[in-house]
Amino acid sequence: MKLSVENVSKQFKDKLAVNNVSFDLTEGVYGFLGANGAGKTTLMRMLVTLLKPSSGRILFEGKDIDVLDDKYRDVIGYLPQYIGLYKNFTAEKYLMYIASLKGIEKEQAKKKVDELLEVVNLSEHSKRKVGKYSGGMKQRIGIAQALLNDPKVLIVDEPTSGLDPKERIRFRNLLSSISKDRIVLLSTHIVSDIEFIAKEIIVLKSGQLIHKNSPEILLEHIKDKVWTVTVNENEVPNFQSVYKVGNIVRQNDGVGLRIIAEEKPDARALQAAPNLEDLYLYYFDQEEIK
Amino acid sequence: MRSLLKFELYKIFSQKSIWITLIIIFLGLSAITLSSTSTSYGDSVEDTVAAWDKLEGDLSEERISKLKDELNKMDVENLSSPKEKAYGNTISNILFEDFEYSNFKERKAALEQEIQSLNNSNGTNYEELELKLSMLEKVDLNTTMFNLGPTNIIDNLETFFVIFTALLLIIGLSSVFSKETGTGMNQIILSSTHGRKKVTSAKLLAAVIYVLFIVGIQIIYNVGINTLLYTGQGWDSPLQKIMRFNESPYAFNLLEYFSTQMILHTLFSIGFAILIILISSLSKTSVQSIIISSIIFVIPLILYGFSITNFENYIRYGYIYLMTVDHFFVSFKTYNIFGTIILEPYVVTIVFVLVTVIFALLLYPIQKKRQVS
Repeated sequence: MKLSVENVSKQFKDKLAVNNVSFDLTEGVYGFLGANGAGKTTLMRMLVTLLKPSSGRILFEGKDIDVLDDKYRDVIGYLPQYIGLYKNFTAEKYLMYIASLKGIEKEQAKKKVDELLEVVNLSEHSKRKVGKYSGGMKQRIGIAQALLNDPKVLIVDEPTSGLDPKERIRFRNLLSSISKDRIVLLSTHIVSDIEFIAKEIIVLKSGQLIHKNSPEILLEHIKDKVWTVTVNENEVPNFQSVYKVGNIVRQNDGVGLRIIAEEKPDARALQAAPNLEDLYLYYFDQEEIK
Repeated sequence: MRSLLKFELYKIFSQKSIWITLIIIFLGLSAITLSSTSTSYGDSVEDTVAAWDKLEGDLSEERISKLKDELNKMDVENLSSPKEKAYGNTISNILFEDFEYSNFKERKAALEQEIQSLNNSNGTNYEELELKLSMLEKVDLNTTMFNLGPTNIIDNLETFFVIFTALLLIIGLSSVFSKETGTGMNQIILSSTHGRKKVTSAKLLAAVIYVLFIVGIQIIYNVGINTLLYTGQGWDSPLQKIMRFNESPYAFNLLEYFSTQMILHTLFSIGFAILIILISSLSKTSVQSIIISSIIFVIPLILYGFSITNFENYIRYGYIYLMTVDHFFVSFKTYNIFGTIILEPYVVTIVFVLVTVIFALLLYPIQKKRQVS
C-alpha cells in the first residue's frame, strides 16, 4: 500500500501554506512534526480531500485521489484537530451516523460502534449526549469515529490533546497495534506520542518538507548538538538569550539546563544523547514553539 | 441511503425551535379562529346553517323573485330573533350571489360578442378568447349553498398558512448545511465515503418530507377546525362563489380547487425548501442563511407594499405569491409558447419545477467541490 504526495503546494490568497512537498507513505506510523503554521493541518486536509492542492497531486496506489473520489474516501479515517459534534446526539447515535456516512451496514455498524466505544473507554457513557462530554471524552469519541471503517489510511491531527496521560498511552498503543497493515499519519506537539511508535518522522517548516526519516536517523543529525550544564540561577537568562534551552531543572547545586547548540555552550557543559524533543527544538525557533 | 435519510430527518425534527414555533402558531390560530365563530353578518353558525338548509337551491328567476318578495316583507331593521336575522341575511347573500351570477352572464355575453367581432381570425387574441369562453362555459353558478367552511379553509392559505409554511421552512432548513460548517462537522462529513453525494440526496429528501409534514399538519388543522366550526358543507360550490375568484374562468368546485391549491402549495413549498438548502450550502452560518432566505421570501411583499410598479410583472412570481397559489387562478392569463396558448398555472408550474430541479442539481457540484479551509 502506498500513498504518494507529489510536488504538492497549496496557496491561500497571498500565503503559500504548503510549498512543493513530496513524500511517500507505506504501512506504519508516521509522525508529523512542525510548529504552528508549518502547514501540517493544510497538508492533512489535502490528504483527506478536504482541500485540493493548488498544484501537484496525491496518489493512492498510483491513482489520483481526486479521480478515486468516493473510493478513496472509503479507505480513509480522519480525526480533525477540532472535532465537530452534534450536541444533541448521544455517543452511540453519533457514531451510528458517521457509520452511515461511511456506508457501513446497520448491523455491522452496531457491532463496530460497541467495540470502539469499549476501545475508547466510553461504553458506560454511550447513551449520554455528546454535548455534555468533557474535552477528553469528545476527543475519544473523535478517535472512535475515525476508526469506524477500519481505514487503510488513518490521518489524525493532534489526537491526544485533551487526553489524560493514561488515555494517551492507551491511544498510542492502539495506533501502534493497528498500524501493521495500514498507513497512520499523526500530527502532534506532544513529541513523546510518536517517539516510540513512529516508523518515520516528517518534519515540516514554513510549508516545506525539511526531513522525512526514521527517528534514529533524524537524531543522528543532532547527536553532537545536545548539551547539559548546571549553572547558577542568575546565569539562566543569559543562556536562554543565546541558546535554545529545553528542560530547566532546579537542582541542589544550581539549575540544570538542556541546551541545543552547534558548539559547546560552556566549559562546564557535557554532551547528552538527543531525543525527539531536542530535535523539535533544534528545527523550530523558541517563538514558533510557543 | 435510508439510514442517512433517517439521520437527516432526526437532525431537522430534533430542533426545538420548530416545535416551539408550531405550538405558538397553532395556539395563536386557535385563539383567533375560536374568538370569531360566526358569519360575516355576525349570525351564529347554527342559525345560518338552518337558514341555508331551507334556502339552498338554484338561482332561477322565479325563485329569486320569491326571495326578493320575502325579503321586502321582512322588517330587516327590526328582526327580533337571531334566527330571523340569520334567515334575512342568508336571503341577502343569495340575492348578492344572483347579482354576481348576472354579472358573470353579462361578461360571458360580452366575450361572445368580442369573439364574433374578430370574425374567426386566426390571431393569438382570438385563440385566447376562444379558450377563455370554452372555460367559462363549464362554469355553473346557478346553484347556491352554505359554504363557509370550505371558503375559510381556502382563504386561510393566503391569510395565514403561506407565512407559517415559510417561517417553518426557514427555521427548520436554514441550518441543514451551514450548521455543519459552524460546528466543524463538515470536516468529518466531507471526508467520508457518502459525505458529498449521498448525504446531499438524503438532505434533499429529508427537506421534501419536512415540507410534506408541515403542509400535512396544516391541512389536518385547517380542515379539522373549520369543519368542526362551520360543518363540512359546501365543497360542491363553484370556486367563483368566493368573492375574489368571481372573475375566474376555472371551472373548479371548492374541493377540486382546494386539492389543486394544496398540490401547488406543496410543490412551490418544496421549491422554496430547496432554495433555502442551496442558500444554506453557500452560507457560513445559520443566521446568514436565515437572513438571506427571509429577504428573498419577503422582497416581493415589500416591493408591492411600496407600490414599486416597475417590478409588478415579476413580483407575482416571487416565492410568497407562488406559494399562495390563488393569484394564478383569480383571472385569465395565458402565455404564447411557440404559437400555442397555454394557461399561466401550467407555464408557472413547469418553469418552477425546472428551476427547482436546477437548484437541487447545483447542490451536487457545490458539495463535490467544497473545500474546508
